[in-house]
Amino acid sequence: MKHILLFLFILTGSLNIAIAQVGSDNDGPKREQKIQALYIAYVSQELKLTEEEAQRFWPVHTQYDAEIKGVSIDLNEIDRQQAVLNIKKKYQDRFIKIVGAERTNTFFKTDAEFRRKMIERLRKMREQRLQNKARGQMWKQ
Amino acid sequence: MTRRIDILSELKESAPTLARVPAVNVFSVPDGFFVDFPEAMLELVKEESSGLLDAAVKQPFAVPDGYFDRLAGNIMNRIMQEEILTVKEEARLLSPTLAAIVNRNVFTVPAGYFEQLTPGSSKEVSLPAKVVPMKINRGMLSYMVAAAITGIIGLSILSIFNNKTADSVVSPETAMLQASEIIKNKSFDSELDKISAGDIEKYLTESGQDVNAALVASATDEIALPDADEYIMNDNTLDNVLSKMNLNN
Repeated sequence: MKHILLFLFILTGSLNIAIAQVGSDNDGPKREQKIQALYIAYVSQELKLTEEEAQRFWPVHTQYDAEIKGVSIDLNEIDRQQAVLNIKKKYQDRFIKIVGAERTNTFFKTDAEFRRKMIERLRKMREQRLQNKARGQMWKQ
Repeated sequence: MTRRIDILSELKESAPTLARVPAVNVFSVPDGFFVDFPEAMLELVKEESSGLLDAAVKQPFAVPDGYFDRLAGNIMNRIMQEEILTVKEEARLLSPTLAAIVNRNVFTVPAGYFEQLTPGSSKEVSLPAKVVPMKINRGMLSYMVAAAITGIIGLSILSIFNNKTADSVVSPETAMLQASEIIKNKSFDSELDKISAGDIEKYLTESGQDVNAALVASATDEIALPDADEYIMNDNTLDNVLSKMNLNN
């Protein structure tokens, strides 16, 4: 009986670790989905997309986004920017057909603006962390 | 002869000086010296230590004449003269404790016990044999229980894992629904505040953004950069600008 209990103890311990690992691995896509939802909300509001436009716009955008993400980060900066620009030019006409030239231009600006907001948020979080760290060191002294 | 020549040749090589010495015996004794040598030597020793030799030759131990002829008879006479002890007396001498124990039977039975004892009476007092039930092999049972529990836990984990896997895929429909909620509730800023720094960094990196360069650009946008002259006038200008940026990890 002691052997069984020991076996079960080890088994349940291992499984708990495995479950925790699986849980942490699967939280990433959920968070990514949250950022994606924020992006859709932001772009939709800025472009003032109608329901019919949204239904046509977002599938094309999904392809566009996949190609942008597919550009290798190992390229040198000039080549990388050139590759991104080529993809933008490639999709420009398709976006114009859905939302018009003016809002396509707004979309590219909005896309960059969203990223800028994210960078801004990241910078503020880091600043906050540094301030907290400095405050903690002052309290220690 | 050849051997002698060989030895001489070897000696010449190893010790030339010694080889040149002639092989002549330099020691000599008078004629007939060794003929009378043993007697002469013995006489010499006797003269110098006559007392010591006498003492060495004399036997220090001695028995009376005819001692060993009468020895057996003397021993037997001595034994016969000794007092003969009884068994009890000998036991008392050897082990007084054992001799003190009285030779008495301590086990008793009631009077007439063996007369009343009959072969049939043993059946009345005999107890029924203990019944030992057959048990399932405990080792096998342990394995069965362990296998069953492992199976249950494994299926549970599989179920949980499948649910998690289903949740792990980014669903555009779900993202659209969440976006609708954000627009409806006007909760963009509050939802953005819930995103961690690590997730933002990961998102930006996956989008092909150089995060560190973007952070520097963001910081320089916000702070007013000093004029070129200030860098010349004050050596600490650049350090001050960088510390204002606070871009360290």
